[in-house]
Amino acid sequence: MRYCTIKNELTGARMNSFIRTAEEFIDTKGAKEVIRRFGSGSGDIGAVWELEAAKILKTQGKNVVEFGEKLPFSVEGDIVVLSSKGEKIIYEAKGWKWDSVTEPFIKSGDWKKTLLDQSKKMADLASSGGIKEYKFVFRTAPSDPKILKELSDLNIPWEVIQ
Amino acid sequence: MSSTWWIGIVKKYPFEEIQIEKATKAIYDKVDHVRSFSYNSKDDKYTEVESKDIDKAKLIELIKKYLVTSKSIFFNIESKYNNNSFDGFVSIKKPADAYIELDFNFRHTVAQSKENLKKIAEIAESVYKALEAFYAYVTWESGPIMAKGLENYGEFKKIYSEYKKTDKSSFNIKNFRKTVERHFGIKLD
Repeated sequence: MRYCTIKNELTGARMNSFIRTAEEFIDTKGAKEVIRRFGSGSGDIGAVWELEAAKILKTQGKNVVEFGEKLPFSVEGDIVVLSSKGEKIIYEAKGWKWDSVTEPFIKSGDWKKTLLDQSKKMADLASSGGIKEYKFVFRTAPSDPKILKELSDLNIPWEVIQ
Repeated sequence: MSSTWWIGIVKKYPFEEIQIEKATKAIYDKVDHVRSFSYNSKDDKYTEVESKDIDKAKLIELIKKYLVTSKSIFFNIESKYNNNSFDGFVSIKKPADAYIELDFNFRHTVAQSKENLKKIAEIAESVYKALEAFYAYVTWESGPIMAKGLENYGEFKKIYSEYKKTDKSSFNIKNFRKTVERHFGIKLD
């Protein structure tokens, strides 16, 4: 197999997969902006995980209809899914490597502030009826019991999808 | 909403009182609202101290009170100008014994506006000077700097190593706007 150029920390295989996934979602609203985020400047790897997560959700039978929809309460939904009843469900994709990457980000607690600020806004939106529900989708699970407890104590809805 | 990015400003420990006051003034000069002060304790417990708007004197008091007893402290900022606006949060932490870091954190959508980026770069430059910092960087939350850890990032290692010996930084904040331009692939002029 011929691999394309590695950008940032992305391996060639993951880059190839990203390109195939980008092609798959190219006509989905907002997908081009996600691709642009990875393609421009130093490249936002978080954008890659948004597309990868959308592909996993689609494989699970979910109806992915939009990326980055601007919603009330200053919420921009990463991946917008419509339920069979037409209800809106927002998935926030976080591709963090909890145990090795971004250590200062994890150790200092910046991750909590980031998730809490986003979670509060989405909770307000859900209670106002703007969306049915929301969830953070992680690429890897934290193994540190302290982090798992914090996620629970802070009422952050999350799951790992692979 | 997903990806966040931030500008990190790194200075030698400690964070002196006069520098806290100057940096706070620099922030208030450029933003319209500061609110929601919280901290992450040394035993990793997240607590919100104040959820409403905070004036400058109160923010200085809170930073002085919680910086030494916490792993990190946080407050939200909001700026509105010429029909534009952005919000984000500031975190202050001590990732290593010898230095302290002040970060401006934003959602990726904030970077879609050239005007926002210009304004944020201005804030970063002012705070860098107020803190007499020795290094500044911009990164995505999953970017290469974070993958390696700042302490292992080549440019930082070189500048910090010289700074430790000479107490003078070869980092030039006047060029930082170019770094921001390269990072986002946007021309700011």
